[in-house]
Amino acid sequence: MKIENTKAQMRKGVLEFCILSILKNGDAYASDIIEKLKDAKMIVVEGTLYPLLTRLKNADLLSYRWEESKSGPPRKYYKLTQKGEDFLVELQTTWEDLQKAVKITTTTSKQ
Amino acid sequence: MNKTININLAGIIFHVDEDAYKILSAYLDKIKIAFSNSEGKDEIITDIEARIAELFQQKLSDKKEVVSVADVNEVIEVMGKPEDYIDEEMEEEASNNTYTSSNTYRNKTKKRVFRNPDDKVLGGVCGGLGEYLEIDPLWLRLGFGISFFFFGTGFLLYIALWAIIPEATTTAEKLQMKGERINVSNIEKSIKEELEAVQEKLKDFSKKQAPKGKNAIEKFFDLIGNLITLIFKLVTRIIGFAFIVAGVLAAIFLFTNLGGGLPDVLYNMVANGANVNITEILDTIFVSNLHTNLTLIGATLFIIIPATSIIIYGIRLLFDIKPLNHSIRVSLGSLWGISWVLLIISTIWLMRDFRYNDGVTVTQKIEPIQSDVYYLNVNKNSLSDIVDESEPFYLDLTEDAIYMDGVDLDIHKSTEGTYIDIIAESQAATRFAAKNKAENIQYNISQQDSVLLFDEYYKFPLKDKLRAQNVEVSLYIPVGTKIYLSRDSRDIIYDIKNVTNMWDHEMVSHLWEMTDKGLTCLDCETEVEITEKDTNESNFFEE
Repeated sequence: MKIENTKAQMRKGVLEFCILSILKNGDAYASDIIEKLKDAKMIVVEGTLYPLLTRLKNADLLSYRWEESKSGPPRKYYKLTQKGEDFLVELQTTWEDLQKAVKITTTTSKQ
Repeated sequence: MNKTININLAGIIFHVDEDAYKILSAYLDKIKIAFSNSEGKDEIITDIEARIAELFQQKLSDKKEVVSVADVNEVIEVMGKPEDYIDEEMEEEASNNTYTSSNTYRNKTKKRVFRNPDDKVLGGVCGGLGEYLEIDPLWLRLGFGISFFFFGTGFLLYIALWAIIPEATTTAEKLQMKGERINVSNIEKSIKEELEAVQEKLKDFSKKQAPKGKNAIEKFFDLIGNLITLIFKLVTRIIGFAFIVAGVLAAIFLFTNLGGGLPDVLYNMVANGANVNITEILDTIFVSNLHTNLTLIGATLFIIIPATSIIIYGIRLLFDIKPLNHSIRVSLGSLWGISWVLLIISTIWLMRDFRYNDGVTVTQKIEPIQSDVYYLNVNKNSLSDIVDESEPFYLDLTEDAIYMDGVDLDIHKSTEGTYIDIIAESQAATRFAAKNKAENIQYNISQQDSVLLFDEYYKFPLKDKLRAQNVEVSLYIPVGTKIYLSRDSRDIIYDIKNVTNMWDHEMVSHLWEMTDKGLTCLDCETEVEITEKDTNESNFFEE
């Protein structure tokens, strides 16, 4: 069992949650989302994001509109849908539960 | 100095260094292949391309206009190798069936034939085909190796395959080479999927939904287009397969005949039972070796090139391969042109030998007989001593002679006794040579009491070659002479004039008498008698 795989899987589980959270704070371009995720060291390579965004969009959690860019091609400007917001709320609860659970299990195991 | 290539990425034009372009296009190909199983792959790829365009733009300025290899490598670094993020994507796809899109048709990584540069002995054809068919290339090599020695057909096929199957040079092509296995059930599946896609469109159409701004009429034409494409694909594959079979058969036929191997089965189909091979036949026609070889080469090219082209075309249709490159096509075409020229030269050369026609007439006396009827018969066995054959063909050969049948016998009224004229004719380049060849023709008629025995065959030396040699026999009998035409004589009698205008094949097995009016049947049934036929018609058949 490779530690890298486990790490990647843990990250992957919360990646969708992170993307939705970023968008909750305001609409964003793909490159903005990438910046934030990279800063937070959630993703290593950018390619990972695009299939994910498409998938979230196909599941109606996200929508987008085209915006012209001063320099470069027009960009997709992503926005949370109502469904996406509900989804996020649920994920939020799950995340908090998980956090508690992890905290409890890790602290008890220390004792 | 470096060449740059202009590319359009997300609607923006970039000048890309040639080497950088190669890396970039291989990278994008890999991404396409990696995502070919995913929902919305087009969208993902568009997004990725847009992002790459954005990254490029950040790297370019007024002073730096060309995207370099380093730039591309950096961008690839940032975007990540497809392998890095495909795995999780695939997993997700596999376990996730909740996303129901209208597009249920998923395009699997299409497997294609390439020559395998990593596993090759000659051109990597077997390696590549082995990869394609998922069998050990060793067996293919063995098969080809054996067929090299057999009739050489394998060689032809190998060269054809080598010429048309492209080599897998890029990573994307190597991936395609190893792509999803293709077998019968797979082909069936892909056809089914295409059918389903068409049906889906049909459903969409019947619901009169018009998503993506397409109206019903446009959708209808889309549907028709899809159906036509599907049918076309099916038909081309069937035709492709048939072409390969036809081409290979043609090649085998050619090689077996020219190689002298000559399996009787194949040959007899064509030559209708003749037990001679091509070289023997050529030997009966051409005087010089040069002429023979010229004709052989001409004929070989004349047949082999279309056969090869047909095989190549078949393989192209079957495996969806690009057309041959220009220079190969041009050289094949000019070789075929040369074969025409050779055959034309050969024909003209040969025609010189048919310029003059001359003949000799030999008169043979018929002895008077005791009885009053001559029996006309054919010596069916005249050849069986010489040529070992159950069913003689119209032309037969021994080591130094040619035997032909097709003697034409006619019966005329005579004013001075009973005799036979044997007219032998031949053609040649000069009148003298023609006469000479005519004199060389031997034809025998023997008389045993009242029986006139005509040989079925006439004979001339092999060195005279086939030069339209012909033998016409005229039997002259005075009025009052009776003659019985035996059943076998139907093989030699030719348009004998008679008062009842009967056909040759009706005349045999009857007794005839020469009268003032001509030959009259003595034992024919009256119904058979025809009063007077149209004279034009009988003249026509006399020709």
